[in-house]
Amino acid sequence: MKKIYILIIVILLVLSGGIEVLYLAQSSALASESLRAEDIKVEIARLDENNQIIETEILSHSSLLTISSRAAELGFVKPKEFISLSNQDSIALKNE
Amino acid sequence: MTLKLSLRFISLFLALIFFYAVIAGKLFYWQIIRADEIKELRDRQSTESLALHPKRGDILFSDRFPIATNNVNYLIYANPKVISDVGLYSKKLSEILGYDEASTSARINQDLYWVRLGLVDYKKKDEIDKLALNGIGSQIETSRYYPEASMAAHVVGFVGKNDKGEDQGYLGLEGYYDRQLKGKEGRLYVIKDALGNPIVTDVREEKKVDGRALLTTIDRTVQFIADEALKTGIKRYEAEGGSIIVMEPSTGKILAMSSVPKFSPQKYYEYEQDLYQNPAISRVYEPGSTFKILIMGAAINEGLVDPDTKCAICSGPVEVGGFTIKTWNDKYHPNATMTEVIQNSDNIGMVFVAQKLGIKKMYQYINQFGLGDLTGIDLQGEVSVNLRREAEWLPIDLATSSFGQGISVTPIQLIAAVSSIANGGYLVKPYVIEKIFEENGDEIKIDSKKKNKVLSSKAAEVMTWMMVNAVEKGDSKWITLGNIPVAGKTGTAQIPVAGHYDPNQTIASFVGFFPADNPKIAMLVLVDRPKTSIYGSETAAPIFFSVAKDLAQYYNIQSE
Repeated sequence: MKKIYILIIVILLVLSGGIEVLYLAQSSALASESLRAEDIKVEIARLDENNQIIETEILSHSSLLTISSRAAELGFVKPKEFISLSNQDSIALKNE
Repeated sequence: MTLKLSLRFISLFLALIFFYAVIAGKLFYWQIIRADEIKELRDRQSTESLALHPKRGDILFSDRFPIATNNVNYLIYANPKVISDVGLYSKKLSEILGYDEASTSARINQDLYWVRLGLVDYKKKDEIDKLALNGIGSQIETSRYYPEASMAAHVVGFVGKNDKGEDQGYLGLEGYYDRQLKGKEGRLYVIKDALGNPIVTDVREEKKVDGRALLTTIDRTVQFIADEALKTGIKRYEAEGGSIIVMEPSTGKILAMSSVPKFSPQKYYEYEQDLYQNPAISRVYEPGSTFKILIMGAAINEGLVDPDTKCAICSGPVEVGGFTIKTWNDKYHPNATMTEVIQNSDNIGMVFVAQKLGIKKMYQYINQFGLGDLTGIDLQGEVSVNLRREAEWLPIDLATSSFGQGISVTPIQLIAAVSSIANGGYLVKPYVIEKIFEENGDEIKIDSKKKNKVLSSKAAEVMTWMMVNAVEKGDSKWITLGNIPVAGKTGTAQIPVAGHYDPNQTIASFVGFFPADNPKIAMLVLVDRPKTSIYGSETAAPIFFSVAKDLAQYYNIQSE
């Protein structure tokens, strides 16, 4: 009888201790996961921000306003006349 | 002894059972009976709620280059309580922020914990960071960005703040499609542990929905060409302003819409509010001679006249309802054919046509051309003038309306009506958005809409060649588009001022389409109060042909 009581008490103590250890281990794992997730989130936000800045730079450089003023600086002018060819001529014809 | 020991074990066992029972009972009390109360308390103490702002949808040119997108900026702020050397801070910051030293100093020298210093781009923010000034911080802020600056400003509108301080689109596409563009705000609930670190497994989120992107029919190159030509023309003819609309006549697709003077959607607050309105859809004016082609088209459609019908009253001024009507140059063309009436822009010839048409038919056609209604273009700010009721029309109204006086239209109404001549007789609804991109990647395609058939194909074709003749032999015959036939008509509308027409203040215009044998482009050019010449043939027509020449090259348009 006595042995049974001892056994039950030991089992209860071991169970309580085990659960406590498991809980602590899980909490600790979760806390470090949370911190890692937070770091990743910050990194994502930083990269998003940088992407947006780069995108804006690209748009600014490829706008027609920028291109036309750059073209004018480089001496490009609008053609006064243009010719449309209705039939495509061969660039190089072999002599018969 | 054994019994005593047993009792001790039983007591200890019961004590443990009691202990666990108490814990279980307490847990039951807190977690079941008072669960809601505790949850609320927990939320208050450890839950952080963050608003997730949706990204406003982009507005794209037809080549998918953004007209409007979002940009990252930085709000620079200061905590004056920790700044000791105000002079040094003011000197260093004013150079970067672009303010004078005194105003920066005044901002920093306040008895506050937080002072806004300005909004800067990332380059300036980096410069400020490098100074490593204690008490100066930055916060990211997104704002609307228009890479092509004021190009298509009137089409796109702008984003301002509403009464609640939230972003809201006003006018143009930003206004018309505001609900689609703005998306839906989300919310993030983060549970934090005792140290304030977020618990990753206990994050609840009401998902934000980003705004939808819009693909416009506006061709960036065509818009650029129209913008440049209009700007140059307005300067050359010393006009107060002007507009150009370029449209695909078969579908109603708007390819470009430009008006001068402009405003910058980025810095709209620096401009007069009058400039925000898009004159191409909100300016009501008397169309003058450009209106003649619609009335002539109606009479041809009714079989009342044909190109060779001779005008029986064109030998001099005519009297109508006690008023004398003259031609614009006081020159008269007895027995002029209908082709010559359009070619000479003959007011008397048009009175002849209108009298054949009669008030009832005239009124019916004006309605069918959509002139009493909004065109329904998908831009915020369109206006329309209600037509007078048919019963109120007098013979003089019939006469003057035939040459575009005493009747008001908007530029978008006129180009839509004239496009019906170009496309075989159909009135089409002008539109600017052809696709909406949903957040899940799906596309909603918006098709063109034909409203009603106004003219028969035959009448539309006859009218087209009368317009070609007007361009080739009329008052703007000195400008052409090489061998590409252009159908068009000039207009010089006097502006009603205080009950009479001011002969020196006009709205000069040219409306037309090309190539006439298979129209791909319809265009309207308006020049507001030009000073070098009051006539459409000498102001609006050259702008029209300058744009048409570039477009013929861009689209490789050739006569068929």
